[in-house]
Amino acid sequence: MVNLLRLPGARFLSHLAIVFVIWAALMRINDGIDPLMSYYLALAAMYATAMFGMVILVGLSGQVSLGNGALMAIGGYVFALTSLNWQTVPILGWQWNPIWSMIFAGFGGIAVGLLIGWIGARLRGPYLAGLTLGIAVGIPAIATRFPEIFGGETGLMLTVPYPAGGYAPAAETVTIDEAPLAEVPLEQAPLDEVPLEQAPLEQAPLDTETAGAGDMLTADNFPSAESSPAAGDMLTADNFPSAESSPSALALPSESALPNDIDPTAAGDALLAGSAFVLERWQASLAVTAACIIGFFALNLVRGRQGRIWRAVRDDEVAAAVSGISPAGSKISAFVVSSFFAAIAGAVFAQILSYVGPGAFGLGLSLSLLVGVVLGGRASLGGAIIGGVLLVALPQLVFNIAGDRGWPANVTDNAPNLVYGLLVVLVVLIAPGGILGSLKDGTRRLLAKSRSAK
Amino acid sequence: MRTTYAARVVAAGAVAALALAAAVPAQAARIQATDPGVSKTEIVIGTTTPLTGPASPGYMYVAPAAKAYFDYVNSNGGINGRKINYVYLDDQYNPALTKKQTNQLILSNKIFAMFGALGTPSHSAVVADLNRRGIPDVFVNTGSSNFDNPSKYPMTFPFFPSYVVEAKVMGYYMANDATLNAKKKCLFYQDGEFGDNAKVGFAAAGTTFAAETSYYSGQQVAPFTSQVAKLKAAGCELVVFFGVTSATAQLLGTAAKSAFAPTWMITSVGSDPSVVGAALGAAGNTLLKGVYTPSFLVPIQDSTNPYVSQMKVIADKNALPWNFYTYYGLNTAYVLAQAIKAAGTDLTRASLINALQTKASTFRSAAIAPMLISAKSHQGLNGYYMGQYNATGQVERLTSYIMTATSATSGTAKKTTFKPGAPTSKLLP
Amino acid sequence: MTTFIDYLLGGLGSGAIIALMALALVLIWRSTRVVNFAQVGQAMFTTFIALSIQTWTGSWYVALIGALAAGAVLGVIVQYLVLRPVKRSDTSGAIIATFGVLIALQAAAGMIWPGGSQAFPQPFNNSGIEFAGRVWPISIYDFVVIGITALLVLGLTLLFTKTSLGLSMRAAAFNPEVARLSGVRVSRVLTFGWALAGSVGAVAGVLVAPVSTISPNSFDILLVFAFVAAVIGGLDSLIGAISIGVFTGLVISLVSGYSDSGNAPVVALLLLALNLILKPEGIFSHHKARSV
Repeated sequence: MVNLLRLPGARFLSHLAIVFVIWAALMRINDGIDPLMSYYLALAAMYATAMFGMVILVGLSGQVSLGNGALMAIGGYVFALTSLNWQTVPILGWQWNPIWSMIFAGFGGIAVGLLIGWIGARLRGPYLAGLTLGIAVGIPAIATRFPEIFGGETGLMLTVPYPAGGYAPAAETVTIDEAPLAEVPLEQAPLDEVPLEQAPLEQAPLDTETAGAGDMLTADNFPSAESSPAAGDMLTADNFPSAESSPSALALPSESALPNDIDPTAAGDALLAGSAFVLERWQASLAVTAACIIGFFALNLVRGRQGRIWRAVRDDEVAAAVSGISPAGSKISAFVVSSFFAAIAGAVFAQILSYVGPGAFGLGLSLSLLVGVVLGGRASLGGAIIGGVLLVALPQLVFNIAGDRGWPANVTDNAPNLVYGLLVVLVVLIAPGGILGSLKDGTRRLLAKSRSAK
Repeated sequence: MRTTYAARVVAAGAVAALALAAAVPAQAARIQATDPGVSKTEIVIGTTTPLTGPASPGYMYVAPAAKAYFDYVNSNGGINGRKINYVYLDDQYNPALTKKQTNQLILSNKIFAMFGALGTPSHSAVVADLNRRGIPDVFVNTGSSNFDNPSKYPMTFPFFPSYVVEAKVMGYYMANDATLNAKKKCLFYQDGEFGDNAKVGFAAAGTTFAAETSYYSGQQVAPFTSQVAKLKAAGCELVVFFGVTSATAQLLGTAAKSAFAPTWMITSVGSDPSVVGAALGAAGNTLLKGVYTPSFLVPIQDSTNPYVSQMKVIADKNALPWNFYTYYGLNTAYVLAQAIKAAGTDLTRASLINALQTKASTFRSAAIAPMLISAKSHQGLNGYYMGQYNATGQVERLTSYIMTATSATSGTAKKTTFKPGAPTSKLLP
Repeated sequence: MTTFIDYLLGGLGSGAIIALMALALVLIWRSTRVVNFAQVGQAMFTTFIALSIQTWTGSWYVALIGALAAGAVLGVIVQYLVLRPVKRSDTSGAIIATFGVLIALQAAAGMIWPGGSQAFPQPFNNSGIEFAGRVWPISIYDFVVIGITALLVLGLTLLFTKTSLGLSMRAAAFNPEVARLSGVRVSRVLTFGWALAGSVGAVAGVLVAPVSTISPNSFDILLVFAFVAAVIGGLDSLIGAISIGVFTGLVISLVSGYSDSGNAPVVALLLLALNLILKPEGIFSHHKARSV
């Protein structure tokens, strides 16, 4: 077995096999779960994609980044802008499709990663944290500074061409794009000539001043939670005009016509009709596939020569430099790789959200990525996967713990954040190597114990 | 802190197990009906809104107020025999979280309709999906004019007038008041869409400003000294302010400090008297006196008004602070309850949309403008009166007429009158 | 010209606040080599405590002293419960732990003091001073803020240069092992550093609250500006934090006055990037931040 793995290409093939098995298993799972679970799977896979880069940057190369959420924004915005504006531009003879936009997003990530890596490779600890914090705050701020291009604070809405029987034609997807204000014709009856008066309620006095005391809600007649409503408090159909009785001026649209004529892509119908296409399932397959491709890249990098270079520079820069490795080059490459991964994750995020905007890629996202990778375990790619699951499951778990217990609103509303904050601190304290690190540690010690017991 | 490996493994294992447990969504309510979220006895309504985070001050009261109203309706037998099951989730004004919570509401809580979703960026991330799924998206709480577009968003109904409408109304009022019109006018706005929309409205109204300056959202921690200095240097005599409430207090305080005392006109979003007054402290009433502010609801302090007094009862009984957000939340919930009632006993999503499109003008509310919802326009309100602060820190209605406008980039406001009807019995639908 | 002076005067007060918050970050960095992102959360929390004290007693001075004490206690609690157990080499662990504290503190404040934004009563006259026939946008209160800041800097400088405690703190920060060998009770000294930083942050919070409002997140933007100032100032330097902090306030004011206020954060971050490219170790630092 060991010998086989030493054959040229064997490591590559074994990685391919590992990733393929994971991919196939996840795709299989995706087909059997609730749409909501599929959506969570999509989110977790998307986070894991970005956190593979965090493992390389933080874990292997030893550079703390508070700004990878902003690098995701680069990918998201490149995806959104190219797919909104370049739909009619054939690239190398092919018609536009989302794959192209994702490739462009990746290039965008590489370019920005080079720039930040160049500045960042010369910085240590808090200074690097400062730079990346600046990026986390600054890049979304740039998006709000240039609203004509980036849609400002509101962001850009995009319709992802869901593959319900093939991708929707480009022309149709454009129509969902936000129409400029001027193009929305707003018709309204002119108001200045006819003074308006609200039709009187039947039996209700028109003059509000003389409303009968019995009809008024006061502190005295407010129903207490225990008492059953008194007869007089019951709603009576006759004091409401024309709700059921009057023939409606507009014929009620047929039930199927109303909600179903909405989506030009017709995906909505399919979902409502319960046919094969489920949006969340599609989102999960997209995210899982992207995560597996990126994970495959990451696996080869981490377990190959480049991984050893990163570790060598992290552990001892001087020694690495003596043995002919460029520490700066190693750090920059880590930034470029993690930025590329983040950009792809951002492009996936844009498709999961069908939206990009500064609020979605704020400092909170950057911090979540760091939290996820540290909690999951920053030393190996498995930690990124655990981290991805945690980022999705933890808020849900916390919400369930802190959920509605009849506390006052201010306590209930803040309880999830309190538990989340404390949990983050707690895990850093009891499991500094992250969950994966602790599990490995534990297994090793258990083995050692059983060996010594013999 | 030193822990044994066993403790670490147990802790890690526990976290992983809990994570898995949490990943299993709560069992959704079983509903047998044509549309999801409605049965003979229950209607499930959902909201996403910021309850925590930087955007939550103020807004955090809107959904609890709506809940208080629905609880009140439920304790009186519900609507057409159905109790309202109202679920509101915190999205921290983050569009990514809005999407996640909306999916939770749709797929797990199986909501019948979305109600009062708050925030322009957050709602932009979900509006297309709600419409694609055919879920009524009723009374969106944003002043953005993008959502009133029935051909694109047939299920979406914005509630309060857009910022464009408000700016047009302010422009109209200034142009038609000789004293105000003679003054040198300047604009101070919040950066981003809020201010941009206002500028669209003022351009349409033909209002020109001698100077314009802005602040960025969150800047309240640093006083507006340089902005005030700029306005003062430009010799502004009338300053229109388009910002949020916490910034209003900041602005008036800083202006007083710089002995800058122009006539102020403040957007309704930034002029909640209960908050501005509290933030300004003892000097508040003096600073606020004479400030113009348009409004689309009956003044909140008008305790003789049957809408205000009855809503205050519900707020008081639920220990909610009596401010504009509570008032607003109660009022929209009241309108929604009437819409559901009007949709009839065979409640479906289609019948709710139809009721909104055909019967909205009969709905009672504390709004001073009619709800002119039709198949062509889903905008709830589009009119304001002009109000002014008196010496006791209360807003008094200046105009007996109202001014209405559309959100289009052109066209000015128009003057009309509207006589609202009395509230329904005991404020029940 | 008067407009320019107005802008500068307007920036002084907020500059002093940013400087104080940067100072708190620097104090902690000097003592434990951690950037304490929870600092603004601690300051927010103690400012709420001060507000409660002010409401009970009606005295701003009691509130200020209460905030000082609460800041010290909270600093010690955070250091003792959270930061001490984290390994000194674990930079990202420490950063995340401080963010965890920040999230928890903001949530706790939302629970204890509901109601969103609250006003902090103005303790002194905040109207502009009239001079040479013109009202200038600087008030008695601004002078109080600047005066307290100056006093704190003076006190800290004396502490670090003239007292044995200060020398022990510097020694413990510079090299804890050597300091321990020379008889410095390192852990006690580090804890003192956290208490000190907590108090300084608390003062910043109490001073900024009357000219703004207070809510669980209202100081968030301060974190970014203070952090930028501390990094540009060199993280190790008290003088650096103070001067760059005030400078940041002035820049924000000038940018908001002459261009658009939305450019202010972007300009601050550009300055940071420029500084990190040209002089990464910070303007006032003697240490090298570049590692290559």
